[in-house]
Amino acid sequence: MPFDAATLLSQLFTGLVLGTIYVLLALGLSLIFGLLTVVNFSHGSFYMLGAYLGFFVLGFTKNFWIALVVAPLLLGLLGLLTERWLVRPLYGRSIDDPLLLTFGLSLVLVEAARLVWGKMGLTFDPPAALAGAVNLGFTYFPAYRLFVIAATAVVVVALWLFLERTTLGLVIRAGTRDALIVRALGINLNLVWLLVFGIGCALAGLAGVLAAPMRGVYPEMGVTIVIESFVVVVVGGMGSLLGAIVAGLLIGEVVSLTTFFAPKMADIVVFLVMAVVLLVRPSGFFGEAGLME
Amino acid sequence: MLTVDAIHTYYGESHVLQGVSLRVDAGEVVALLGRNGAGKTTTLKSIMGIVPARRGTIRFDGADITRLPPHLVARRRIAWIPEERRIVPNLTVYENLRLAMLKAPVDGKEASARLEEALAFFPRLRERLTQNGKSLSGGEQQMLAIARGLVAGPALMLVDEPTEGLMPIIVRNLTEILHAINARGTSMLLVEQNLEVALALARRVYLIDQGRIEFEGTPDDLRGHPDLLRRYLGV
Ligand SMILES: Nc1ncnc2c1ncn2[C@@H]1O[C@H](COP(=O)(O)OP(=O)(O)OP(=O)(O)O)[C@@H](O)[C@H]1O
Ligand SMILES: [Mg+2]
Repeated sequence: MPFDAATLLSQLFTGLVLGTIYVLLALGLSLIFGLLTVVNFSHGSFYMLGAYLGFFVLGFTKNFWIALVVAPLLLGLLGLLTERWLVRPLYGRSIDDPLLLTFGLSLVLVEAARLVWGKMGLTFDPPAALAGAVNLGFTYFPAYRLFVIAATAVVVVALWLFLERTTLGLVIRAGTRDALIVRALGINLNLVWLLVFGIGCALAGLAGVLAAPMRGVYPEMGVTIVIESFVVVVVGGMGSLLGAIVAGLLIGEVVSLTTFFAPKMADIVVFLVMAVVLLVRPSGFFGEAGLME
Repeated sequence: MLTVDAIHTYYGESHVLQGVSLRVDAGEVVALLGRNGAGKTTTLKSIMGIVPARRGTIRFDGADITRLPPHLVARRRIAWIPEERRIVPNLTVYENLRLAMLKAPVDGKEASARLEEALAFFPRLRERLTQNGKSLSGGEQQMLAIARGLVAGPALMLVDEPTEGLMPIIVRNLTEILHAINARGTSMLLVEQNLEVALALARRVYLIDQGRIEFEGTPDDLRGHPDLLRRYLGV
């Protein structure tokens, strides 16, 4: 096997890019789970829809940047509708009910995508400005992938500022730990739940558009990655955003390195990581025990 | 001010409050006493709309609040100081207080005056404003729970066992503070295991047992009935 430091570094970079997609998906899942205790299984389908809608907005406008903004907004809107009309009636019931519902929704959406857009994948070209490769010193790395890393960093910082510095962020942080006291202090959490579900879905849509030029657009594109993202959430600790970031990047690296050094292991390595982490720390890196109660 | 009229409250099939009636008039401290499991906390939760009463009515300042959700009850200036304190652990002391002021029906200037007033009662909280909720001692958590109720400018406070598990000196301190809060015009419905604290603060007392009110009277009436104290409080 050809091996040198430059190859390793470029593989680490590839892992970082994959990790950012996990991070974006896991952040949405974790936000939604942390506040609403809903395991949103339709997240992968929202990611897929983000890619398709991005593709069509790009087709209409010929402008990648508009697609990058509009598709997540549309997904956010779809998230609002999903919370309001499908998930909300299930609050107060067992945690399995919204899980089954969103699982069903994800099947419907994948099937609908096959019907509407066909089973063939689409090719999504990165914007011309990011088409080339950049010399990193040790290797040439696609400019678009560097952009994905930077864009994720911006989103993570923006989300952090939103949660730490705004009033709504304060309510979300409090509601994640004790929804009842927040309501007893006069705050209507229904609106906050709605909004957080929308934000989570918008993040899935963003991940879909960002991933599309690297991974293609096809109806099943969200099926595997959503499961891997669930693993990220569990490894990071259910409901922990810091955990989603750390575990997302870690699993991105693990998958990338395994694909390179031991390709046969690539499909199961995420689950191995999960098993090991859960054996050592049952609530994940940053999880608070008892969140599932 | 507050009138609870024959409420019945259930947890699933379990019939916990079986026709509880009580009244708190403006400016009063009213104590609700009873054994463990008698239904004291459930009464407060029914008033707050957390476990709504299935039958009966709850009126506050003339309006029917029986079926209001908790956030709308709170906005009518009723503050709940829960038994478990429920300080949000991942927020600082200041953020816990700010949370309580977000929807309080007061303007910015009055809000900062209330914050000052609450911190004047609890100087220890002022020293710990930037400290996380989870790092507070039990006594400090109770202080914060009361302060968090105060900053919303409540007309009525539902206080659930404020002295539970605290050292005698802190119990005395809290008793004085609750008295001072009431002297400034806030009515209270006080649930308390510490009989001395309850009788020192309350103008009227209700005894509750198995979800029914068994006695209503003044602290002096109750002192004159050691049989009642034995039967319903086990003292
Ligand atoms: N969430 C719940 N689900 C089912 N039953 C409950 C629940 N909470 C309380 N109960 C039951 O309702 C009854 C009244 O409970 P409540 O908490 O009101 O008592 P309490 O008078 O506040 O007691 P304590 O002094 O121990 O706080 C008890 O029998 C209790 O077991
Ligand atoms: Mg109680």
